[in-house]
Amino acid sequence: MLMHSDSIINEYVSLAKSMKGDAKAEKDTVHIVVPKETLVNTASKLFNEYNCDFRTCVGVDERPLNGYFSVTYIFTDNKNGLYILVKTYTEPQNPVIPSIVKTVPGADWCEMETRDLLGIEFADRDQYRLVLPSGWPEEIHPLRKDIPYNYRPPIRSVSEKITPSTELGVIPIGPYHPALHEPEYFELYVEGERVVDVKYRGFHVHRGIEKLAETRMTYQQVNFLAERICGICGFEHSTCYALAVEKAAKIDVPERAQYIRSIVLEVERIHSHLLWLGVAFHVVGYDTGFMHMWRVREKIMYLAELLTGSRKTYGLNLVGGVRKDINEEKKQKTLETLKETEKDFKKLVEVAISVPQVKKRLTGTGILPREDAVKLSVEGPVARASGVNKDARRDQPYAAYKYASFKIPVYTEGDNLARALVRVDEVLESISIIEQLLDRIPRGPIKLEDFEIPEGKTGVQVVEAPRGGDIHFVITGHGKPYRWRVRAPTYSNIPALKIMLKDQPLADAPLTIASIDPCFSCTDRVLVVRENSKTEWLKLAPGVQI
Amino acid sequence: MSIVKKAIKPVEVLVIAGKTKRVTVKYPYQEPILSPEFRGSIEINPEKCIGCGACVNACPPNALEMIESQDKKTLRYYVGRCIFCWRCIDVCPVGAIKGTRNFELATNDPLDLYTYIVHSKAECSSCGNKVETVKMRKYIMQKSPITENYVNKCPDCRKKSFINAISTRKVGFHGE
Amino acid sequence: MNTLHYTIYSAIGVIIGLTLPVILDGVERKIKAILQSRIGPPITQTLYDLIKLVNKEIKPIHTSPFILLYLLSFIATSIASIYMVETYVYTLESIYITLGLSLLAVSLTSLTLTPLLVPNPFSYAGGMREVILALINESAFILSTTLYAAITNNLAQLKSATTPSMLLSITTAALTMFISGYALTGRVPFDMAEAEPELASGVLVEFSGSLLAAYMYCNLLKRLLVNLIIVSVTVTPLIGESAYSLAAVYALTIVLWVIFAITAVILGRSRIDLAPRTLTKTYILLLALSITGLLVHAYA
Repeated sequence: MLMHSDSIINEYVSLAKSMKGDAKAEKDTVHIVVPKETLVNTASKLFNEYNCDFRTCVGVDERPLNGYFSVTYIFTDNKNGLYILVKTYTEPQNPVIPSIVKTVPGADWCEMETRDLLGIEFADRDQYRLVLPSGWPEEIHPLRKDIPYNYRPPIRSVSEKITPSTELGVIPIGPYHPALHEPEYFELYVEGERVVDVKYRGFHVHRGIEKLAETRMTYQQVNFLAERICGICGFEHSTCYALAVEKAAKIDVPERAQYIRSIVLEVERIHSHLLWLGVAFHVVGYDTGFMHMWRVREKIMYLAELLTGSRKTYGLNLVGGVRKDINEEKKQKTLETLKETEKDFKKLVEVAISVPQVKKRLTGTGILPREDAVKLSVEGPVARASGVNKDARRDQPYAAYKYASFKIPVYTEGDNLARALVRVDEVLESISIIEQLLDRIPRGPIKLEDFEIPEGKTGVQVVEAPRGGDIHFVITGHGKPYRWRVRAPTYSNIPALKIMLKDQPLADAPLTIASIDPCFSCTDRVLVVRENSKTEWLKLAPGVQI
Repeated sequence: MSIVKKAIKPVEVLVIAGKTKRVTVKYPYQEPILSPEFRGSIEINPEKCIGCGACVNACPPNALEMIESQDKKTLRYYVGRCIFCWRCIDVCPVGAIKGTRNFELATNDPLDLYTYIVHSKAECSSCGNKVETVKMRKYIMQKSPITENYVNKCPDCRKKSFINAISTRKVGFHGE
Repeated sequence: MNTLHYTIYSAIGVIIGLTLPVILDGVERKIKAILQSRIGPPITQTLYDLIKLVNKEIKPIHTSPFILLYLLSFIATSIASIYMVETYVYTLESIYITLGLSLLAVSLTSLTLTPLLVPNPFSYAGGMREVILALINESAFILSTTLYAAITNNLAQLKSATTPSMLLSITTAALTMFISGYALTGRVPFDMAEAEPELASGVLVEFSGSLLAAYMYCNLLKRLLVNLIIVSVTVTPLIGESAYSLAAVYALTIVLWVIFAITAVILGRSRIDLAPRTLTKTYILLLALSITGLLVHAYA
């Protein structure tokens, strides 16, 4: 367990003071409030001098509370296990705050998301519509509190079809495409068989769940909504939400519940990685490996159903605990299944990686250098394959991870093979974590019956999903969250694809896209257009009638 | 030697295949593989249900809804929305909802997806308004026997009579 | 046996040759399923698929008539090629295998060029990949097959005794023939034209209904033709003249199909810039060895 020593916290407090702001620490979270004039300086200091990891930013309409809009930038100090929230206020008439994108490039998307959903302008950066469909009226910002959740603005449909340049071949991938299992759009510009540029257009399935949770659901109902953000790592989302609310309300959840959460989280990680490995084999045409990997995965799916009642979307989490206990019989069955899985998996991976085509196509393709990985604040296996040693399970221990010992695989090659191997190693680590936790699980209740959630408290939580750090930010309200912000790991990883795909053979594109294990639906609570200054002639000009 | 071994390693997948049994089943003709904990659709016992609406409040996707009319209260279960979380089973005070293992819910007739449980409402003894169900009233009386005096009234009249009682006690006359 | 018998047998052979690929593809899918621990479709599945496709409406592309023409020409030349190969099996005259191979070259050309008629970037990219592979594989296949047939047929004339250099020459030629034949059948790892996910099923992308059925059938027929040639060239000299030789050739063709199917199960897909390079190097090496062996045998 990491100690939050006073000297470190004091450092952050004095930083806030030197920036004409104020700070207070609550458990593992340092809340810093700075005036907007010093925001960029503060962010730059945190990112560059304190080596904090930038996670995301959140805009909040606080007008009903205090008459202002606020934006909170979420950093984490991974060395000391601290969350650093930098908050700044802006007046409601003409909300403008300075952008930090120049110092922290990873903030690009979340700032534009805030601009679209809350109408807060970010000065000193390029502006583009990001979150809303192109026909959405300019003045409607759905996350403002005065917009009802079921409001449907008149939308004039705008075509986003572009006329591609004749100089290069265009290979459109998506919105419906066999290589992608979700509606997304990539446009690969190729010269012969080489990709020279990439354009990404996502958010075809933006569902507005944050608004839904803030307006018409109760604290306990949101768990089930959060779980449905993702079909593969749903439990990470519901755990993350529950932990964030519990942190905000200072609820101490029974230890046994935390153990069960960790166990199920690891079960989910195993199935997710096995799924990914299967898909990767399928993409390189090794269907036998794919089928056998999924055969092994099926045992884990059965196990998940046994532990939670459902193969996916487990419905296990509540704020204050979990709904299903693990008895002796289930424990034995789990250990048995894990033993079999470990044996099967090791053998299968050994064989699959030895297939010459698989090896050749994974090695050296889709390279993401370490500098870019740091700059773009990428998450999870993508970061760890590029030599960035970060994992929230160790850095910001939550649930019961502090009671288990495990290694965090880090590779430095940054290619598709490294990303595959990180996942292979993690599967084995996860099996060991579950075994340790099942061995040490304490007796006791699995949920709190009575607790109160005070209003106006902030909780932020990172949970290491199979794809990377998943972040939930909650401000408590009356019977439901006042503000709930979700940032799925793929949100951070997609911008890295551009670097990975560029100057690579076209044939590797699907594999490289798959290698970040993209979860588009998670990311798509908001809408994104990716552009680059080099490719101005490709400009999509969202929202502009063509 | 090791090079040869490495080269023929991929062939080992045939050994793996030989050792594993067939894992798929001829699904509609064979039993699906379900764990004992599997959660399927729910069944509501109309005899037991008292129409309190606890399940409606807990249901995350609004698969359970309470439809109010003049003198009827109808609990509607729409399986098309159900996420099979069984929260309703957790919160039902009378244990009227039972979980099943049924997941084969496709149908040609969309009306099959709805289940209705109709409750008649009880009349308020003072104003005649109808708010809660007859069964709910019975349930309250069983649970807390000293409620006979005001259980027959609707919440509004209950509030009124409470205020009246207080004011009578304080100032000696009815507030009306 | 007289010529009339040949003709009748060969005609029956052609009919078998035209129907067999549909069933054998079903068998291949079943083998794949068994090796992947699943039930898989029935062996008649490919037949069902084709029948279903034929009954579906066609989404016409403006080059459809040409495509149909190409496919018809493929089928016609394939039939002719099968007939020639069968005649070779009965007569052991190398002229027939040469004719069969040249007809194969013609038929493969029309099949390879079909996707290039489709106005679609995916199809075009896939088609170009097919052309690159076909150039390498076809030349290697025809060269090695001719070489192998020439050596085995003229064994007696060259020198009676088999020497090590002779054996080397035969085995390398056979190896080239099997590898290039396998590559020609468009199975994993060489199914780059139609199966690569980035190309959204590549050459198949614009085909629909009966046109798709025809294209798929042609690809299956191609597999049979290549298998048939490999088997006839390898075993006919061993069996010699016999009334049952054609039946034996077909039986062994099925066996070879099964072997190829199992090979496809254990491999992954190669990449378009890797496969041609690797294949070219392999072929050049093997063919050089084969020719050297032959020369050493003849002049040593």
